[in-house]
Amino acid sequence: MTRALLRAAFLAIAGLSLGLPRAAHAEDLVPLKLDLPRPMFVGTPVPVGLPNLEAPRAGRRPDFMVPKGVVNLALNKKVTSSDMEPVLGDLTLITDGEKAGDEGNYVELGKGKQWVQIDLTKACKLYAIVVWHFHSQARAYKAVAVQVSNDPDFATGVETLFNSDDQNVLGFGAGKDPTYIETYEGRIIDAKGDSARYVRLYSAGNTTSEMNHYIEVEVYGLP
Amino acid sequence: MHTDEAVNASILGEMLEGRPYRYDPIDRHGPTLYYATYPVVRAFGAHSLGDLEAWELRLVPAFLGAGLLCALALFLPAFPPPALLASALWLGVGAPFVYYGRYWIHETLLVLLTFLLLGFSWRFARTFRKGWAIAAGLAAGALLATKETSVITLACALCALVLTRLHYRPDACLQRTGFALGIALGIAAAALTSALLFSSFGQNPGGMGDALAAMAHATERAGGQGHEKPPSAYLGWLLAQNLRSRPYCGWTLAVFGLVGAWSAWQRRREEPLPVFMGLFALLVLAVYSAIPYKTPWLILNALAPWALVAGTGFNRVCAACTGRLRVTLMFALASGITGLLASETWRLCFVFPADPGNPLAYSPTSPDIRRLEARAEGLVAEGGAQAPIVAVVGSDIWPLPWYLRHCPNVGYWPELPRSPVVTVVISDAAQSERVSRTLGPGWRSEIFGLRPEVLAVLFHRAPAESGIERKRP
Repeated sequence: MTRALLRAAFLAIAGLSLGLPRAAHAEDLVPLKLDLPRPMFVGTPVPVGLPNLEAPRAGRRPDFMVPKGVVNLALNKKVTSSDMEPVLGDLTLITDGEKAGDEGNYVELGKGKQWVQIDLTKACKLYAIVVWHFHSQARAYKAVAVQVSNDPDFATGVETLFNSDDQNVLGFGAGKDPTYIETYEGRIIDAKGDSARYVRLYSAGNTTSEMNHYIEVEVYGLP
Repeated sequence: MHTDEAVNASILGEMLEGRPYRYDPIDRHGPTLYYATYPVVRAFGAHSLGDLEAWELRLVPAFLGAGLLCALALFLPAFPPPALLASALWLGVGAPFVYYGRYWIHETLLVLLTFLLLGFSWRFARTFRKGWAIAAGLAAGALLATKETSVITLACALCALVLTRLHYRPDACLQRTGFALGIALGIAAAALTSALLFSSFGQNPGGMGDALAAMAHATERAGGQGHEKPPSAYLGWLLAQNLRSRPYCGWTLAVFGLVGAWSAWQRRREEPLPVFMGLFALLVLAVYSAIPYKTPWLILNALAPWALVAGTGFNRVCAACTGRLRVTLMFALASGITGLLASETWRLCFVFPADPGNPLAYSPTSPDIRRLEARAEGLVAEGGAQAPIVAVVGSDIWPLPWYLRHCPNVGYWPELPRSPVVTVVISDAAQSERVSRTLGPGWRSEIFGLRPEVLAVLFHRAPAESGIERKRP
């Protein structure tokens, strides 16, 4: 009996000690505010309600909660890429803050598997990564993967946050995340509070061409 | 393969399987392209759509494009050799001609037949030989049986002829007996040729009536039908800077063409053909620009005759010098033009042939379709001897019939059929949700691009359901 009471008391104390900070943390969360560009396409029929393809939403996107005080750490940060001589545009466009889908606002990387990497200059706690590949046409990008690491070569300590590469083109294993149609809202990827200095995004062409495009990447975290 | 090529290939596939061509005024162009291609693919041993290869089909427009260069000789001596050689640069190296010269569609044949009609007519006007008149009639008949837009070509040629004669009074040719007889023979040859072709050589007599009925439908189609563009579209495609290349072909044609037009106008009383050619090209451009329906390959009908005018301009520029200097200038200009044209052609035709930023790539087939083809063939191969049934569902599925031509059990339905049982389903985007609901759980889906903004979804049984270990394609 005494042992049972002691166990109950211990569990209650443990629960409080774990639960209270969580409750306090949840209260500190706020919706992620994004400055969205103008929509570029309307009326194009796109696949809807399919297994392992993301169903389009009716109405506005649900709020994505992040801790108070997060900012876009990627703004104007240095970008490197597997294709350092893009076909169109230049890599600075990826972090210049401009998300409009018009010509001149995106960088086009070569055919097949390509990546871009953002150096946040120091390791930070990351909560959301938002990517706009190309949103003036209904299209889906193939083998989209997002990784974070403190190793600029992504050889060690790599955390994969998103992987829609179900054919394992990238070699990270078959991805389980859904393929999605690009829109002006961009894609929010949960960074789960991981601490990292480098963010790397992969793709391998799209449903329209073999090229890879980026309009903007934003990385939200605590500075 | 472009969607239009895939549609043409399926028509040819029917012919190869023994069903004679039947002209359909709503859905088909004339038969000449198919009759021109049929012996070529038969020579390669094709007996059905599944036997066809893209390169075999594209040999035909490639040869027709080469024929276009040879047809330039018909315009001697109204266009002197340097002018014709310069014209050959634009026709042989210019991006629009190379790009559509490897599309198995009707346009290159239409342009060649236009050149043959004009060239033979010109020869007849110079010699009054009945043979030239009959040859012109044959070309006109084949032209009419190629595409409905041939009516625009003929109307513009007639208008250009009338306008040219306002400034050029030839010897009283109309009084010569050979002239009237030649005209009559030419018209008879044209009527007979087009009747033979539209009636599928007598197998479909109703085809001749259908050809006349097609005009009503063609007029309706000219309204746009989803291909509406502003009047400036053709000039924009030709002259505006695009994402993939500088528009060298358009600008060199414009500059040398204007010099050529001015030169032709100066000599309009001595040599009428360059004036006629300039007026003809401008009229064709004006008519196609005025019609809301626009596709970029239609501009070949104006560019080809304008290339002759530009050749005249080239010759006029070179004529500013004499002796060895003239030869040097000619060589330098020709080399420069060739270099510019080749750089544009290389980028638009070989580096970015299916890119949405390429102005010549009109609703191009997405390279992603190769993945869809491989995926579908892989799933079919997994079925072993009992090849699974592939159901293609929806209306916006072209050019899938070309890419699935090797699948043995493939069928096309407007909606998912309840029977027979299917194991692979490819649906257009509009139908995909309904298809997914009908198929129920246990199906996996993958998304592919057919054309810009046109997506398809491939459904197949998830491995756990099928019990078959799936291989990667």
